[in-house]
Amino acid sequence: MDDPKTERVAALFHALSTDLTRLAFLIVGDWGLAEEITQEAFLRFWRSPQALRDEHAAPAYIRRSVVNLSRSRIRRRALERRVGRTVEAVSPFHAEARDVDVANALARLAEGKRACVVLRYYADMTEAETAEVLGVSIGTVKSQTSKALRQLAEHLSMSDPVAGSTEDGRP
Amino acid sequence: MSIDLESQVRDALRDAVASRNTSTDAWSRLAERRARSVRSRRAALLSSTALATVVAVVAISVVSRDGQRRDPQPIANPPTTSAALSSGASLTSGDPITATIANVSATALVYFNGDIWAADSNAGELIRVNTADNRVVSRHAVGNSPGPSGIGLVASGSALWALSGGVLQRVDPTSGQTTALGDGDSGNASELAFGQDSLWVVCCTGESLQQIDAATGRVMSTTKFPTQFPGPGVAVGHGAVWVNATGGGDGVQRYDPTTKEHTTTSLVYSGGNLQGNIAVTDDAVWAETGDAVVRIDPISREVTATVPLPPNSTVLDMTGVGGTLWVVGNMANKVWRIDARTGQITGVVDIRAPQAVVATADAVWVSAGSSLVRFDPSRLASPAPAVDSPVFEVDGMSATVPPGWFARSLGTRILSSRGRSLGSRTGIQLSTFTFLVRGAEDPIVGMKSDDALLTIKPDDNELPAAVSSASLALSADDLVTDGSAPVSRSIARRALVYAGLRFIVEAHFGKADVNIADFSRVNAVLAAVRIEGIASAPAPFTPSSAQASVSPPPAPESVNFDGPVQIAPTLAEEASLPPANTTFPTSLDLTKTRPTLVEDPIERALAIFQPRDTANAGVLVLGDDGRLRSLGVPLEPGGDGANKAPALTTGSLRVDGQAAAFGQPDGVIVVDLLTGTPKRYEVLGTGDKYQGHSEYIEHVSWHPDGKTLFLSGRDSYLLDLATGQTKTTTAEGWESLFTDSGELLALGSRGIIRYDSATGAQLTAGGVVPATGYSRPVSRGARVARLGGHEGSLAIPVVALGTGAVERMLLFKGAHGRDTGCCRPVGWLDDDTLIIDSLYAAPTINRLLAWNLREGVISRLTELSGSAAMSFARL
Repeated sequence: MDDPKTERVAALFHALSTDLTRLAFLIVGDWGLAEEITQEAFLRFWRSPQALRDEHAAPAYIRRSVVNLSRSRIRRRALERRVGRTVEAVSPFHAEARDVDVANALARLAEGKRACVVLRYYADMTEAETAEVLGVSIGTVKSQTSKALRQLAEHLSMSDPVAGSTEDGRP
Repeated sequence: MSIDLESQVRDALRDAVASRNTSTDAWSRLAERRARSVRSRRAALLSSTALATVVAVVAISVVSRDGQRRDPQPIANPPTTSAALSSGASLTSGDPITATIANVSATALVYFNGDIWAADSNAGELIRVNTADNRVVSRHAVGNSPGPSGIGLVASGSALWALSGGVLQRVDPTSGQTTALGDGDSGNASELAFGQDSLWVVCCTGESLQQIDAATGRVMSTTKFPTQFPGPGVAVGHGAVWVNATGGGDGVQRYDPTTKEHTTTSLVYSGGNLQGNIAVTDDAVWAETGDAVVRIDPISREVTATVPLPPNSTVLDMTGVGGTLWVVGNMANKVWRIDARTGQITGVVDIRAPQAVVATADAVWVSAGSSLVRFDPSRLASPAPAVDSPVFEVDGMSATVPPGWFARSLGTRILSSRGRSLGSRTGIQLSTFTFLVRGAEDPIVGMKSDDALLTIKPDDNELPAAVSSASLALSADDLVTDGSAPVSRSIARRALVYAGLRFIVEAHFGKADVNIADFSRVNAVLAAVRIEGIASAPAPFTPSSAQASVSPPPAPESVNFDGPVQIAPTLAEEASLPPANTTFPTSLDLTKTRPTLVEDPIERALAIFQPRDTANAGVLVLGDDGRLRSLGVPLEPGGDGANKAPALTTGSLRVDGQAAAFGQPDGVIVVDLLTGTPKRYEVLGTGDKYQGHSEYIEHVSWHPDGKTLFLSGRDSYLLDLATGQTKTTTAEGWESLFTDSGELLALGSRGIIRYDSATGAQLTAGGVVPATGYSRPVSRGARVARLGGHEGSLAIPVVALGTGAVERMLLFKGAHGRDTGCCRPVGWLDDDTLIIDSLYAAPTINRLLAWNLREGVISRLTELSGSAAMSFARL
């Protein structure tokens, strides 16, 4: 860990990798794949000249890379599978219990909608940022997000006043 | 939409991933990949055809409860039709392929009036190909932009129907124009079939089957399935609609539209990538179960044949024509012809990455990549003599089965290939299997490296995981046959028990050794796994059958697989559980103002609580007189900026109940509970202060001698309370704790990993463990428990520290009505009794249960006036 570039990437990796992997997981629905995507994004960043340029732009750069890789993985798999058989169809015991509700509800969203929801509400991106990352208009983000939210609300028991509480300490 | 909904979605998303963290070795893997990619680019072509094959074989020997080892059960032949898996080439004579039409990619194909219609979900178009001259006649954009679900196609008497982006479309076969039907926003339909004058659509991720009037698009009836499941196939024939619900554990559902009767044929997932295909032939229904297709008699609805396919063939499509079934094995690069009467494979065509298939009287059409391939089935030779499916001969393999478990013969199965995770992360993982690893040339493999079984498309970095030379450098000495020698550390071991019937063993190749990008032409790693037995356990522990737990277990052969599982009471049943026989108060009001420890001193605390609902709520101390006091020491909340959490965690209270430690943003506060005096320790360690992420301590665990604290935040530390000195350790905070014997260990996805409690250095590599990760572990005596998942439900496996075996498991089936934060083990009442936070019995009642492991009895310990974090002393 001597050269500045490695040091820089390492610092970024430690700071961002968990969040980015979680982000990728929410889009692709597979933890192993999500880790792979995060690794790939960092590897690309490492190779790119970006790694030594504008320090403040790096997290956004890597995040965009994660989102794009996640989406292309989904698309590629969608191609390979027939109608409606998304990634989630591969293994009947794919999601862990805690994730089941949300993962199922997310899995039922079309890819675009899912990406909108995850970027807006998990990655906390603005509508404009989401639109930029997804390469769509802000109007599309607005409409996709609101449709997706309604759909999610139907699938999840959103009435529970305490839904979302977690074990002490962990976000 | 309401802000409330947004914030609930936000919470739900965070909650869904809250317990997931990047593997601790992620950085080293990345660094290694980086280093290798630099090297491999220099070496460029030299490594162009590295070929790696690793075969891991697992066997479980039979171990009775008294620990006496018996010989492994003889291996029965698989109860399946013996198919010519490895001799595909010999079933073809000459090249059966008669035409390849470029620029036609399709995820669905249908034949209609002399044309093949191909649905290209990527381009969102329908392509019409004339079967007389094999030319593309026309291309039509589909009305609705196709979503990821692609386009399904069926032909009815006079029209074509497409499912595009989940929306049903009617396609005019003359003009190619599409008209959307039904609710344009539904976007949920996933499968389509035509028959009995209706369209049949599987809706909403397997939620229901809809019958749709082909003329009007009106939904005529909706039938719900017992379980929701993704991606079920649907087919119509033999007077019924058939839905392959294997993905949801429901086998094949038969629905009779006349009688509205629903029946189920149970099927067992056979490994690999289950796609849920189903097709109908003249006298049978065929369902895909992953790495096999099974034949179901439409009258008796029984499975009458099973045709095994190579591992991870990934059957993307099947179609039945007369007495023939065509099966597309996408990753096997094969299309198989199966004689529907005998269940024998009678022909194989090698086609790269085939996707969809349609058969006419004299031709079979298969989409593959960006081409449409036509072949002539009459050119397929009659079958060669049946060859046994590949068998991995292993002599004398054995592995230890955890105490209380049995094994019984199940025959041979090959369940897993590819060095990648199958994505199966739930289930009990038995702890001590031994994998035997053999090289590609080893005769026991019985397959050549160029066999389709081992060949995976080299350019698709999603599919195979290659193995680096490091993990292949197994000498002949490593390739043991008696199961006793260790395996390369690079191979992580996993065994899963699933669905109460099946035993799945999964070989996980350590990702550090698996590099996808660096080996562009490496063939796949094959981790074929053989199972000699199925592990099972004594009858389940239930409160009503507590006696069963102490009686001798029945003979292995007679044991149904139930696992050491006790089903937790439902939320409704909890209310009628007996009260626990303790002096612990039966209810605790955490809302009232209490005197401080200074005003009303205690001799020791039984437990401490910190309400969650109120921001910065104070800590309450339950004295051994049964009364609550206020800690009287202000604490900063834990968690990072966006996610506050109580500073109190399950490890906060010292075992003697006389001191408590609380993680703080920059260190830890230790409070002497006898005097109420706080002491602050700064832990300014090495935490990244990058991008505004500051250090914070979110987890503490006391060494039983009370002199050392394990702390974790962004990094983990051992804090010497006498000197205030810290040492860093790699023990992962979320997973780690001190046990009663002073061991520092982590219980997580890599099993139990032990660390030196003095230096923090890692001592052991871990092994196989139950799925855990939804709570912190709590340990007492020789056990550790942590919330995890099993079969889609929350479960608490209790793990023996000595063996790493799962001793007991409490399953919260479906967790119906329970809060998302429920069911965490929070401490121990005594050596045999685990305290479980069942959370909300009512909005203001947080119920704690006591689960006696020895007797299998669950009782009500106490009720709190709302959700709280808590920690218990050694009561």
